[in-house]
Amino acid sequence: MEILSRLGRSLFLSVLTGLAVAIIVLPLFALANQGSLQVAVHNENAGRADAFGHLFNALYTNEQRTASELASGPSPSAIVAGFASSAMAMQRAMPEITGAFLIGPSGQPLVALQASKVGAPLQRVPSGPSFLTTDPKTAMGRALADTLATHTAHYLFSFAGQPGPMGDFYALAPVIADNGVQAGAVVLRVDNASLIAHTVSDDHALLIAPPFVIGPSTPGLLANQHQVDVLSDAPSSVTRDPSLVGGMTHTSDSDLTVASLPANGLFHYQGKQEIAGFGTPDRFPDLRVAVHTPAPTFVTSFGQTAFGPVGVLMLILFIGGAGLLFVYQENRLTAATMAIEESRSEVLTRDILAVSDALGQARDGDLTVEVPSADSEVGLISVMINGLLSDYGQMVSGIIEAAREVQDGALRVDEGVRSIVEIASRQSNEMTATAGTVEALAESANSVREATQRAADLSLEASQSVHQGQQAVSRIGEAVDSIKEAAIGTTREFKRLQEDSIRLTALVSSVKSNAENLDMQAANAALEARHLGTETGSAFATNIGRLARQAQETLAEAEGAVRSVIGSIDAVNRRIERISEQVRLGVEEVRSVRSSFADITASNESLVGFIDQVAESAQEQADSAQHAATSISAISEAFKRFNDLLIATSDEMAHMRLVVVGLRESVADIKVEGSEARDGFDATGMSVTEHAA
Amino acid sequence: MVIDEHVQQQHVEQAADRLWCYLVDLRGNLYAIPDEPRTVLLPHISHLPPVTPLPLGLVPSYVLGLANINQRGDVVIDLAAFLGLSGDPVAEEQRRLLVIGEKTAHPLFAQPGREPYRLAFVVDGGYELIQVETSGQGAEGQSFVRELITTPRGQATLLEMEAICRAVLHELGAERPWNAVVELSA
Repeated sequence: MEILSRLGRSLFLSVLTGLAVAIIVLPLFALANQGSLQVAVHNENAGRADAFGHLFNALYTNEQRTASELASGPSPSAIVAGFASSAMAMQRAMPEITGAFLIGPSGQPLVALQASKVGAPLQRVPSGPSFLTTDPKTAMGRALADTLATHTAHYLFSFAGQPGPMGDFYALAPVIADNGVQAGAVVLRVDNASLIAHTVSDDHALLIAPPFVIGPSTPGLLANQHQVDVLSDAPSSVTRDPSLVGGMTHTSDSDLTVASLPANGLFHYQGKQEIAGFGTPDRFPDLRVAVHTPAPTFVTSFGQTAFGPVGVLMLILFIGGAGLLFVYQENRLTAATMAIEESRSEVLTRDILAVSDALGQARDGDLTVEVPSADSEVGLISVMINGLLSDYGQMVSGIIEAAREVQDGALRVDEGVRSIVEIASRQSNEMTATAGTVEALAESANSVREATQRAADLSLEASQSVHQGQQAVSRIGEAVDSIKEAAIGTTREFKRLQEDSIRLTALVSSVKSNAENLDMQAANAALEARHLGTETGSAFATNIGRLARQAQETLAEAEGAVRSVIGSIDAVNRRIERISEQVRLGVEEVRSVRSSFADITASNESLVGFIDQVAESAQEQADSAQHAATSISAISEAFKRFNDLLIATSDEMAHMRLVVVGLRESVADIKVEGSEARDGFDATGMSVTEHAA
Repeated sequence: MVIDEHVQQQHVEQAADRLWCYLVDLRGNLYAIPDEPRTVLLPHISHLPPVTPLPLGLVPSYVLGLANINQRGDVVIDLAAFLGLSGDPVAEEQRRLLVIGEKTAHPLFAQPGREPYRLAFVVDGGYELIQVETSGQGAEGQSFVRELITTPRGQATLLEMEAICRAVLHELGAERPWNAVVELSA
């Protein structure tokens, strides 16, 4: 069983090791494989440029001659004529050429030849395309500048159907003189439709060529494509070349059908045949479509490596190594096991003897002995025995120490009990005295209750007296009100009398005035009579005048009397008013007294209530004091009983000390750490002073 | 201008023995206003009637104004003020009005438009018309006091009313003096 377990573990480790190696090695293989593919694509691209160099060989040869003429300084017309003749000759061989341009060493255009359509002869024009400059912002500019600077050929290609400077194929070649001086460049424009037709969608490109042209910009154009189909009548070895489509892998071939063309498919084939829409034949036997997919990635490389011959070989090597490792480890394990068994037997015997010796010393009473430690199984027993002896020694030491502490505690308890007995006796006596005081307090409370009862009776009598006084004040108030009414009536009568007197005075004044008038009329009558000579009439008038004067005098006296009466009435009236004022003050005083009696009544009622509360509280206090006296007597009795119990406890404590002494004597023979007697105590635990006493 | 000396002489002789006087009060003193032919005390003794004052500056200050007395507009004179007596005047209702007129026996006064002079005097009080004994001596010159007389109310000053009336008319600028008879051209 153990053998099987070890075998499984070895196999498991071997598999893990193999997997680790595979994880590390296979990606390296994959990376190496991928790098070789990329290098191959690069080389093929470079070779492609050379392969298409034949397109310019003839021109280049001619332009070398032209360059020589340039270097030797021929006339411009000769240069233009030479260039034109060379270009036209080349166009006759390749009717797809629609333009030829000669560029100076600094990039300036020198000669421009263009054809109006494919196959038409080249003719000189004033200037070439505007983009034919060395402007670094455009691809043409950068290619032309690079051609002039590095003397290398460049090819620029533009997609069909997209107007603009890149809508055609342009080939750029340097012009180098015989003496090696760079004299400019030649640019050929080739009709793109005649040369190639292709369509690019978001993820699928259809390229139609012969020959298919790959330039520096082609990988960028096809970088995002998932599939590139090459439509061509070239041999399959050409169309399947991955370098045609930027390193993509050829996956399949098929004949051209209408369905494989784009919906708006419109292209020219060799500049002669036009295929348009659905009206065209369904199949084109001369044309084939080569399908290409993107270059292999890390994942595809890994798969090829892991499941290829290299992966199988590595797996076999791993399994074999694991088996060898298993056998080797089994042999080493067996030898080591036998050596260990012999060593363990010897050590075990030595440890058992050491334990036996230690137990013998402990049995003799030495609890301080220690069993030596051991690495064998006996070592655990030694540790347990040492722990057991240590615990036992600590227990004995604890018993001895506890006996000492119990003895000390018994002494302190004895002293405490004596002190408590003394204090309890004193408190018992004090409680007895307190009980007497409380009883006196209860008697005082009873006296207070009786006194409050008398106060309540007196308060009730005072309340009755106040009530009677209030009734008397009410009667006085009524009498004062009657006096007030009488005074008001008298004042009113005197007012009328005063008014009558005033009228009487006016009447007397009127009569007096009449008497005066009569006096004057009598004087006038006397004068009249005397002037007329009638002495009798004069005497009569004189007598009338005398009577009138007497009447005046009488009336004057009457007027004085009436005025005196009015004065007296005024004086009496003023007195009555003073009396009325005093009566009014008396009424207010009676009202104040009545209010005061009401306040006294209210206060007396509050006093009665308060006295009742005091009486009730005094009753409760007397009851509480009586109850307290009873409780204190009980407490005093309890103290006495407690005192007796303390005395008995003291006796019990003396007995306990004897028990402790016996306990200490029983453990005195046992040897433990710190078992010596304390200073001032003997083996019995009794102090020296106690022995002396 | 011719004065009737006969009438005047007869009047003096009649008044030499007994003279009718009206006792009045002026500033607390007793005075006697004679009733005689040269100064007739007319029967118009009364309380002080409503007086219409005259513009100041045109008349003397003792002239109180004009009053309607028995359907005639007469000049009212404060007698105490005229005489220059000191003291406070009495109440309005106690004051009396006396009217003194010229003698009316002359036939000229019977003609229309030739009415005799009348002057109204205001006194502080009037008592009675009595007949008193006089010495018969008239006042000398233009004196306003004739003599002191004894009355039942005590000693009184008998005034010379003609001299007073003449002085008043003079100060008022009258056409003719008091009791002077003027020959009429008609």
